Amino acid sequence: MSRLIAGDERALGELYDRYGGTAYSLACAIVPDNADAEEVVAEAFAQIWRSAASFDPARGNVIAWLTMIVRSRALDLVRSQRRRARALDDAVAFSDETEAPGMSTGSEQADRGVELSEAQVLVRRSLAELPLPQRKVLELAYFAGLSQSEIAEHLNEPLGTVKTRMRAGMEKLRQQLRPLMEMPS
Amino acid sequence: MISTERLEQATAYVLGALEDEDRLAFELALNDSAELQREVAELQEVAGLVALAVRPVAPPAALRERIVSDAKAVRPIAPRLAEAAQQRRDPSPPTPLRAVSGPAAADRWSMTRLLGGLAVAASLVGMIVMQNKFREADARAQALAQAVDQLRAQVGERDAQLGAMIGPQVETIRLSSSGTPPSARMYWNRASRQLVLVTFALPTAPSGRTYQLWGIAKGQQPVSLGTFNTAANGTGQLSIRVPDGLDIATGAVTEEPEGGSPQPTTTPILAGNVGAT
Repeated sequence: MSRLIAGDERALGELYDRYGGTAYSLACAIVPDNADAEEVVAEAFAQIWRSAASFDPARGNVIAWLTMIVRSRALDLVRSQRRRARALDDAVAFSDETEAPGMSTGSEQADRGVELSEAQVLVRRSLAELPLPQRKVLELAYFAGLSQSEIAEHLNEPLGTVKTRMRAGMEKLRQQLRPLMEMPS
Repeated sequence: MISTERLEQATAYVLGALEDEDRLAFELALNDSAELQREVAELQEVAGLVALAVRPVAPPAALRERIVSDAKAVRPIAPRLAEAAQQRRDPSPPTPLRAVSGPAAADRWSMTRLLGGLAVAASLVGMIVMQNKFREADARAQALAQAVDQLRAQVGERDAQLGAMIGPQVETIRLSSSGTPPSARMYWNRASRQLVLVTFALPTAPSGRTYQLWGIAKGQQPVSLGTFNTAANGTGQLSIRVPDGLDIATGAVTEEPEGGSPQPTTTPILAGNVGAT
């Protein structure tokens, strides 16, 4: 990161080599079009390049910072293109099948031949172990970019229930993913 | 101790799921609470890790090259750094002194004619040089006059901005993000309806995008107050006249497509309440 901040674009290339696949996969999971996903990732890395100095390692690791920027860009694009309805239909369909759009929760069949890192295995297992109602709420927020009230309306659940499930789901994930986190608890 | 309600809001905030009317208030609370900032930072890290669960999709091979070459265009390595590195590898040899040969012997009469001719030529050259110098001086004077006019206009503009920023009737509103740079100050002169926004450490908006300032009255939809971009050092400025009838309670800055949007399409980067500072 220090080389990135110093303006070494080779450092940006190395960052892409390490996390570009994850960034692109995440973008593909949110935007419906691979060409849009490419734009999202390019813009995200451009933002990272411009604002590398704002990254504070005391506040978390690089992958978390990078993926939040990618997700934010992807959701902005989806909202501006008004394709949320389609993503929402996809999200509900996948959630009903216990799997989120573009997300794997432990099924190895979809990823046959792809080696997963220990981190990926842990994250997938943690998501799979979430109670389905909590996971549904998190998926709709994370991949479809819905607000709590929109999620409540979509699931026909009380707003308070959605808030509680969202909090409980994230709290469970935090406990499960603690070994991957850099922030001291 | 953070309340349950704030913890729920923190989770929703990190996922971008907090309602618009709650988000600004939450961000102000976040700005004032180190404990809440730590909570948000941890949740952001968790949310970031969720990305590892997505189904892997191989990116196009050309994407890497595009990203690196875009970076070179935005912030190239300073030439002096490259030159310094080159010099360390291959220092240039010293320039050799050239030997100067003495004049050959010449006929005295030829020398006189030669010297006379040289004097005339020198006079002509001198006159041409002087004429050119007068023309250059004229051009410089004109350029200076234009520069003075421009400076007068800038001073006038600065005077107007200062008028909006100074005075007992001016309110200063601090706009901030979640505890870290960037930040901004909004100077709101209710009497003259003049408003000046100054930003700090706000990265330049990417190509095709711009920053947009919003004025929000209580219980009303945001009203656009204008678009702006920032310099490379993160400072930006916007000076506008607020429309009559708009009683600003909150100011906010979002990133929007170039030309701005009728309503905010992204989460505010900066926000602040009138009367909070």
